[in-house]
Parts: sequence; C-alpha cells; structure tokens
Amino acid sequence: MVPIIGLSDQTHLTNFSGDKKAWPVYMTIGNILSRTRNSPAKMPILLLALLPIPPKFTGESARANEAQRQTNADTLRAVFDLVLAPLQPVAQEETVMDCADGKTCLCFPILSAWIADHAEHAALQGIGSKSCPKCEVRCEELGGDPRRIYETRDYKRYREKALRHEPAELASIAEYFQR
Amino acid sequence: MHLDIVLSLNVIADAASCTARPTFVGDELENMTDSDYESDPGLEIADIHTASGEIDDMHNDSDREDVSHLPVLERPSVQETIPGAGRPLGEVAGNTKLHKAMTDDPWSLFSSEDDFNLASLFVRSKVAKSQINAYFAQGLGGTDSRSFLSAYTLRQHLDVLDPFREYFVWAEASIDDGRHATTFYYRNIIDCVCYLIRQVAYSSDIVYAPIREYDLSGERLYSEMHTADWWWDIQGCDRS
Repeated sequence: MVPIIGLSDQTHLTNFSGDKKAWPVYMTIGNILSRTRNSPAKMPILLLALLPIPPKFTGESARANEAQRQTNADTLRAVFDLVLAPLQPVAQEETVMDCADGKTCLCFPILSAWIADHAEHAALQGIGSKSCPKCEVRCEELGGDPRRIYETRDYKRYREKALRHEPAELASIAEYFQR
Repeated sequence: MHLDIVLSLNVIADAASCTARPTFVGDELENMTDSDYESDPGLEIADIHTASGEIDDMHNDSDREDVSHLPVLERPSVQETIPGAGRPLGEVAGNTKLHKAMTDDPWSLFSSEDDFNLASLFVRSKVAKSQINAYFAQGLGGTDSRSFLSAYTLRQHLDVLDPFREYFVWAEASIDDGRHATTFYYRNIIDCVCYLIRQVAYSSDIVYAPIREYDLSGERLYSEMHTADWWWDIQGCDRS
C-alpha cells in the first residue's frame, strides 16, 4: 500500500502590485521513513499543484460577497476533483509500480493524510472556521471534555448532500475540463 | 529540484550493490544513526542512564515504591507482519541495464569526478548564473576538459540528469467562473507517486508493508507510519 500524504498552505507573497499569493499543494508518500521524508535535502516532497487564487472580495454588498464565497468554494472543489481524479480508479484496483529496489509491486495509492493548519483545513473542507475539521463537535463544545470521544466526520453523508446539489447539466467536473 | 538529482547520483554510486529490502531486524538496526527510530543507539544509552537514575532515587524515596512498570528500553523484541504483504512481483524491466550504466559511468554527462564535483559545488552553494559564467570567462576552470563551460550548459546537463524525469509533466488548466478566468498548474498525482517510490536514492529507507512491534514486556511500540494500526487495517482488509 502506498499512503499519500498531502500538504498545502496559502502563502502571502507580497504586498506590492496588489497582494500576491501562492497556494501550493505538495505531496509525499508514507513508505519513505520519516528521517528521509523530513529531510529537505533529499527532496521527497513534490509540488503537486498550484491552486488558483480567488479574486478579492469586492465589498460592494453582502450578497456579492456571499456569491463570491460560493464561487470560490465551487472552484476549489472543481480543482481538487481534477487534481485527485487519477487516484479514484487506481485506489480501487491494483496497479503495478516499479519500486526503488528494482522490483515491481502491486500498489494501492490511497490518500491518507493531509497536513495543514486549521485555517487551511477550514478553507479546503468548506467549513466555518469555528468548527472542527476532524470530528462532529459543536462549536460551543470545542475545548470541552478531552476524555469524550467524538464521532469522526461521516464524509459519505456530505458527499451525498453535495451530489444532490450538483447542477444537472454536467455529469462530473472532470467532464467540464475535458470539454 | 536539481539538488536531489545531484544527491541521488551520489547515493546510487555508493549503494549500487545494496538492492535488498530493509528488514529492520538484527544488525541493520545498529547502522541507523540520526533517527528517531526507537533503536537509535545514542538515544538508548541516554535513556538507560536516566532510567537507572530513577531507580536509585526510588531506593532512597520509599513513597515511590508503588511504581509498577518501568518501560523496557530495548529494541523491539517481537515483530508481527502480514504474510505476503509487500511481496515483490518481479524485476523492473531495464533496471539492471540502468544500474549497470550508472555504475559503469557514474559521472555520466560529466567528463570526470572533478567535473562533477565542480558542478555539485555550483549547485549546492547556489552560485549565481553570472558568477558561473564569470568563473569560466576568467579562465579559473583551468586547462582540464570540462563538459560544461557556462551556466547554460550546466543547466542543460542538470535537466537530463534525472533518469526518472519523464514522470514530471505539468498540466495546465483554466477555470472560468463567468467573471474571472484563472489558469492553474498541476501534476498527475499517480506519476508523482511513481516517481517517489522509484527513487533509488531512497531504497534503504522505503518500507512496503505494515509491521507491529512489541518490546520485551509486551508493550506495543509505535514509531513510523507503518508501525501504526491504520496501515495494518487497510492492508489487512485489502488482502481478505
């Protein structure tokens, strides 16, 4: 099995020429032992994508801001659909890959972890910044009883919900890009 | 990006004969330094010192006699694996050829070891292009035959140095939300995985299967990602 670890963070580059930002997404694999994986000189972390930076909020009206926020979230989802699309068929079925020791192996690449700060998690998962990206805990219970185990997020439910709101004209986002 | 290319060639030249999988059993562990793996000899000694200090303290202090369990600071004594997990299927086509080419001519593209070391120095110390050009313009390169005589030719050499570079292809896509059109760039994630798992430079530090480790007292030891339960569960359910 090949566990894929993703990393991302939105980075502010400059205040000149109207606030430039970069939004890199990196990836590495869990098969590499941490002493190599965490060594910058061995370059085990690859740049996977540079996400599009959404335009600034115009501040004209609350409604315009809300529409912009919705567009940004849709754009982000579409981009991640496209970038992670090659994983979907491969995670279900086995692939044969060449390995470092000169042998071929059956590999199952699975996205296993995402390293990001809280603001980034909130942006990527489209949740409010006061809710927990890992588990189902209400915002007023945050920082509550540490011994209580909260249920982790049931992403299937979110997916079903999201699919119901999918505009009907296109079957998938990938199709949108292939037009 | 070019730093690892230089590095990987170094390691290939050193470890050309070492193609066996890391097993983490026995003597191999003793060669592992500078790691936080539980069998780091330096760490172990330090820990044993503190542990013995604690024991002395306890003899003096009768209130602390009810300490029931001292961690056993040994390397894992019991290891459990999933049979058949991480088993290789066969040889990679053309791998021996690639290895042979690399060991026969380890300085390939560069004319000699000196030549390679000079290029390596330029890259590692991040010498500016203009400085590299000035170096050759002033004749500091000496009379030896150099395979590169400018920053441009050095860059060209570096670009073809990576034997797995064909995995790296940038794709470009644009997204249009009706008001703004934005272009963004991405790579195929599967190709990136192939690239990483194929790197010969990492071959001594790659694991293919989960493992469960216990110390002498039967306590579970967690260190790397493959010693935890998640990988074990996923791989176990794949097998069955």
